[in-house]
Amino acid sequence: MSADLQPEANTAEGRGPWGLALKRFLRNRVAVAFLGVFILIILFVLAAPLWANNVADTGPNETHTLEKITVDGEQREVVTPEGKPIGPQWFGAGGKFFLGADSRLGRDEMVRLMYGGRTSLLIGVTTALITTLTAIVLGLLAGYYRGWVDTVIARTLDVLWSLPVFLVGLALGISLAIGGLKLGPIEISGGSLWIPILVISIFTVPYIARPIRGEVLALSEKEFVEAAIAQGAGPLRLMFGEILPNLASTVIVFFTLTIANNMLFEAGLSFLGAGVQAPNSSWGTMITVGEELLRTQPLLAIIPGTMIMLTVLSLNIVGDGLRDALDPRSKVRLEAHLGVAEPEGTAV
Amino acid sequence: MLRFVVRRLAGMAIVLFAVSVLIFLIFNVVPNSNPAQQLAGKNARPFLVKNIEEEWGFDKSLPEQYVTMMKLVVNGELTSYEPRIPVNDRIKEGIPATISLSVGAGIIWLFFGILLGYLSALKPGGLLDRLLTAVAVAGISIPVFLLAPVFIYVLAEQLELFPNGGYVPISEDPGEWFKHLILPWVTLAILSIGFYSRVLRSNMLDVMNEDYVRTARAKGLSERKVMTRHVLRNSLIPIITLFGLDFGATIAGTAIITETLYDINGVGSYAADAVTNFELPPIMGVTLYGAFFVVFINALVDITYAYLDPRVRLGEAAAE
Repeated sequence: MSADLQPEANTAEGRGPWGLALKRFLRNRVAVAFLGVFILIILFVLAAPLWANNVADTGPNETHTLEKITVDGEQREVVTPEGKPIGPQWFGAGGKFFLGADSRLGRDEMVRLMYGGRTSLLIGVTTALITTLTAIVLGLLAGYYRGWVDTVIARTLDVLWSLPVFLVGLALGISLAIGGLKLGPIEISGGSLWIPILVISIFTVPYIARPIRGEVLALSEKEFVEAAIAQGAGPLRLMFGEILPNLASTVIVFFTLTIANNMLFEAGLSFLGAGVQAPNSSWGTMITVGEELLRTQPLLAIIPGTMIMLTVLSLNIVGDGLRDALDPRSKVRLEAHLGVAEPEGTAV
Repeated sequence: MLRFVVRRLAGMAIVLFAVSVLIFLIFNVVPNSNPAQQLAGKNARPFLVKNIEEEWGFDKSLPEQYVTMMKLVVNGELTSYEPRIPVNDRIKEGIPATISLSVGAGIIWLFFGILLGYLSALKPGGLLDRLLTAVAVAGISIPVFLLAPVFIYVLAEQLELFPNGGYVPISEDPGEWFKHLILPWVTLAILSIGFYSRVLRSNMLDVMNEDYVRTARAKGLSERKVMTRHVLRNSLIPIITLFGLDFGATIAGTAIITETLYDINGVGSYAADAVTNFELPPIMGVTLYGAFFVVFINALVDITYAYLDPRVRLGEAAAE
C-alpha cells in the first residue's frame, strides 16, 4: 500500500484532494470498467423511445395478441393459440420482438425492458437522493445538537433499524397501493410511482443516518469547528458550512451504494406486487410476468434479472472504488452500509 | 449483568409498542380510503364491510381502534374475510417449511461465509484474496430473483438434477425434503455468503494487529495455530451476533421471495399470495408476528453478546 502512494506524493503539488481522488479512481481499472457498464445501462434506458418508435414500432404496453409478424419472409404468430409468446427474433423481423413477446398479451419484451429500466433506475436514484438528504439533515441535527434532539432522532432510527424492513415495507407498500395516500394537501393515488419511492426512502434512512451521525459526533470535536465558533459562526454555518463538506466523501460513497441497495428493494417489492403497479412496469414486475413462463421461456425472467444484477454489481464496484479513492483509510465499509460494523466514533 | 438484562428487556417492550403502533398506522390510518373496505378485500359485499367496521370499531377514537386491533392480534383472532379463514391457522401451517428453509440456508451461509472469509484473510492482497473478494462482490449483487430462475431452468428443468420446486414435509419423507430444499437453501444463502466472508475478512485483519496475536507468534506458536486459535476465534464473536440478527430477519421477511419462486408453502408465500390478492389481514398478522419475532431475537442476541463480552455491559454502565 505505502509503495503505491509514493509516486503520488511527488506529483501531489498543485492538485486538490478531489484531483487526487479522481486520479486514484482512474487507476482502479475494474471500477472504471464498471462505471462504463453503468453508463451503458443509462444510455440503454434513455434510448427507449428511439427504439420503440423507429425499430420496434410499438409501445411498452401495446398488446399484439392476435397479430402476425413476418420473419425472414415467413408469417408467424406473436402468440400461439395455446398462449405461448414468440421467442427472441433478433433482427429477423426488422428488430420487432427483438427479445420476443412478454406473455400471452404479446407485448414487445425489448421495449418493455428499456422502459422498465427507466422506472427501476428512476426509483433507485430518486429514493437514494431522498434517503441521503434526509439522513444528512437528521445526522447533522443529532450529532450537532446532541441532548434530547439526538435522543429522539437516534431512538427513532433504532426502532426503524430493528424492524424486518422488507416485511414492513411490503405491508406499507400494499396498504398504500390499495388505498392511496393523503398527507394534508398532497394526495397520491395507489398506482403512483411515488408510493414505492416513499416506502423505500423511509426504510433506508437509518442505514445512512446512523453512520453520518457518528461522523458528525466525531467531527464536531475537531479544532476547525472550535475555530469557526471562535469566529462567531452560528449553528447553520457550523453544520452546513463546516461539518458537511467534511462528510462529502462518505455521502458520495453511500449515495452510490444506496442506489444499488434501493433498486434491489424496489425489485423485491415489485416482484411481490407491493411496489410498481400496472400500467407502469419495472424490471421487478417483468420478472413476475416472466416467472409464469419459466418452464418454457426462461429468458423472460432471466433477462430483467440480469439487468438488475448488472446495474447493482456495477454500482457496488463503483461505490467501493470511490470509497478507496476518496478516503483510502476509511472505516466506513460496505459492511457499515449494510448495517454491521459501525464507523469509529459512533459509540458515545 | 441483571441490570443490563432488565434495561434491554425494557427497551424491547418500547420497541414492540412502537412497532405495533407503526403497523396500526400503516393499515388503519395512513391509507386514503375506508379501512374496513380495505380489510374486507377487493370484491367485498357491503354488509361484510359494515360488519368489519363494527368488529374493528372504526367509528371510535384512534386509541380505542388500536386497542381493538391489538386484542384481535394477541387473541389470535385475525381473519381474512373472503373466504373466512383464521390467519393464525395458516401461519402455523406454514411455519415448518419456513423454518426448514431458513435453518438450512443459515447453516450453509455461516459455514461458507466463515470458510471463504478465513481463506481470504490468510494472505490479504494475494491472488486467492482478490479472487474471493470478486466472488463475494458478485454474490452480494446477485438478486434471488435471478438466481432462482436460472437454477430452476438449468438444474431442475433441463438437467433434472433437482425437483422442480415444491416442498415435502420432513415427517413424510426426509430424503425428498432434503432434495427439494437444496436449491432454495443455496439461493437464499449466496447473498449472505458474500457478505459474511467480507465481514469476517475485515474483522480478522483488525484482530491480526492486536498485541496478543504478536505475543502468540513471539512465543513460537505455529502460524496455523495463531490464525485459528487466536485470530479466527476472536473475529467470530461479531459474526455470530450478526448471524442472530440476520437469521431472525430471514425467517421474518427475506425468505418470502425464495419461497414464492420455489413454490414452498411457508409463511412467506402465504404473505405473498395475500399481497397478490390484496388481502390485508394476513399481511397484518405476518408483519406483526414477524416484527415481534425479530425484535425479540435482537434482544436475545444483545443479551448473549453482553454475557460473552463484558465490555458491552460495562460500557453501557460507564456511559450513564
